[in-house]
Amino acid sequence: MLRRAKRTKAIRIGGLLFALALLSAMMAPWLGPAGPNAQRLELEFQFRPPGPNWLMGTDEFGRDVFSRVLWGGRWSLLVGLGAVVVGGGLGCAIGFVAGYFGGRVDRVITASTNLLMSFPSIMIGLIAAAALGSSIVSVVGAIGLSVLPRFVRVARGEVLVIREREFVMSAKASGASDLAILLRHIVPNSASALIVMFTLYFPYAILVESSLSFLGIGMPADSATWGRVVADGREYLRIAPWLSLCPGAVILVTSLGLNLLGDGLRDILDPKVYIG
Amino acid sequence: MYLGDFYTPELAKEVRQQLGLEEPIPRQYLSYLSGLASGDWGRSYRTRSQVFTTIVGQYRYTLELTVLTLLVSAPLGLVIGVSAGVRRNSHLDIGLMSSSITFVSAPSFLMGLIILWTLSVRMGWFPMAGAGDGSLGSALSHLALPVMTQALRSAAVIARMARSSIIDVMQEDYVRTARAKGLMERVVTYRHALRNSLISVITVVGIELSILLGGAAVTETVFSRPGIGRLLVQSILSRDYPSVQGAVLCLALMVVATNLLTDLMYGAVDPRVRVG
Repeated sequence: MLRRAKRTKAIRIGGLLFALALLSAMMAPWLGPAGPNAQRLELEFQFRPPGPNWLMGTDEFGRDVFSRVLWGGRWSLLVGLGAVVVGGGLGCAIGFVAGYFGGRVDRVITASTNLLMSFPSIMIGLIAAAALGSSIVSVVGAIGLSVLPRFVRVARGEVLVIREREFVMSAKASGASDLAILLRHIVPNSASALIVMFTLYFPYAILVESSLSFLGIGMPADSATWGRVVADGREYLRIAPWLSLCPGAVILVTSLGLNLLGDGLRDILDPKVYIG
Repeated sequence: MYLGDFYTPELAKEVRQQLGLEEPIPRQYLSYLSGLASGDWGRSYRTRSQVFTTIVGQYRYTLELTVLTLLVSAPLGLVIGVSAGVRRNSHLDIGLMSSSITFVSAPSFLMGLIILWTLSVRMGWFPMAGAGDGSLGSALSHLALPVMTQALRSAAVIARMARSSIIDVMQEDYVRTARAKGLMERVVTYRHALRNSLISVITVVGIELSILLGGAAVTETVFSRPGIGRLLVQSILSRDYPSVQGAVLCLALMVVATNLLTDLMYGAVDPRVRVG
């Protein structure tokens, strides 16, 4: 009981933190005092420390960091979400097919999954983003590719168990097609494991995206994602540390919220999924 | 790019011919492969120097950083995870696990910048950038901050795994038997439980080692340290493809070596695992 109570607390705190980040990004045009790239080059607007007028201070062009973070959140959350949806969705589909049909298809898929899994995903993201050039689509693709094998593995494992259950047998016996069995029986029964995977890899995708844009790889130069805002401020760490530290803290809060949420959900829905 | 201001179509064609870019792709790949075997990894487009020489000069910085990080984080993570796991749901456990999930959620460039800002900019205890002048003392003081950055996150990941693994093991029958025999709790924990939980900890340590190699790109950039990761990022940004290939190949070799080492470690910890 105690454990369960603690977990729901984790879910509540996590959900709250994430909802805060999501809402503020969605409300950017109304909440933000200025546009993301609105410059005020007068001297009195440059390098202002955080205060009542500028919640997170201003940078060398007199841009309001708080507004940049709000607007950047739209990119970062969108790219993170896109990457887990694309990579995760595709990964699940591949995993279902591999686990359900087995045989040679399964062997080829498992072998290539293991190959991809043996490399750290930031490295795969880095190489893929470099090869695909800089655009939002290529970043989503690159991060999606790096999380894909992990979803394949979990989805395949789920199918292998569910396939042997009686209700699948009976569906087969009553003449249901493979597609119907997959969609009607296997997908709903593996949903809880996959929901946990999505929640835990969403913050991961956000971190990879912000690392890539911090390094200046992937996202086009004019899109101020969180990672890019941190990187822009890095040069002025000595005189204006808030330029990097404030947006960095926002990334931390968002990913912490999602991790708490995912951890809590995992303990309730599916204790056997481990993140590696 | 290669020619800069001297670009003319004729000259470009000549350069392409010199670089072998007019050959069919399979032929180019074959000659690249045969070059690899004989230590000719191509020439950098940017510096025109041999890629192989550059990599031989740089890889030890990345290796130093990664190995030293793991020497710090693996024992630290193990101790934290075990002490949290054996006193499950105590204040100590909750405190340690809350801080570890925070470190897991933090983007590594943020950790790097915070550490850089407090210990180097504010306190002036450590140098801000570079890798030192070659003496042991200066090498170590330049390594301290990057190692700290990576070790905090990596220890947190290892601690979480160690905790859940020791909790699983403590519920095994042989632990109950050991307790029933009247052994001291300390002996049960360290002789029976710890040893058996090491297998899954080693798996994470192995994964961590390869993640650290990938993450080197970010850490080395934050601390302006030489190394393969930074070489990779700079080469991607300047479209220096021979160097990108060389850096990726070098990282891939290191990852493969890591995976092999992990498999060998299983045999050392668990006598049931036979290598062969």
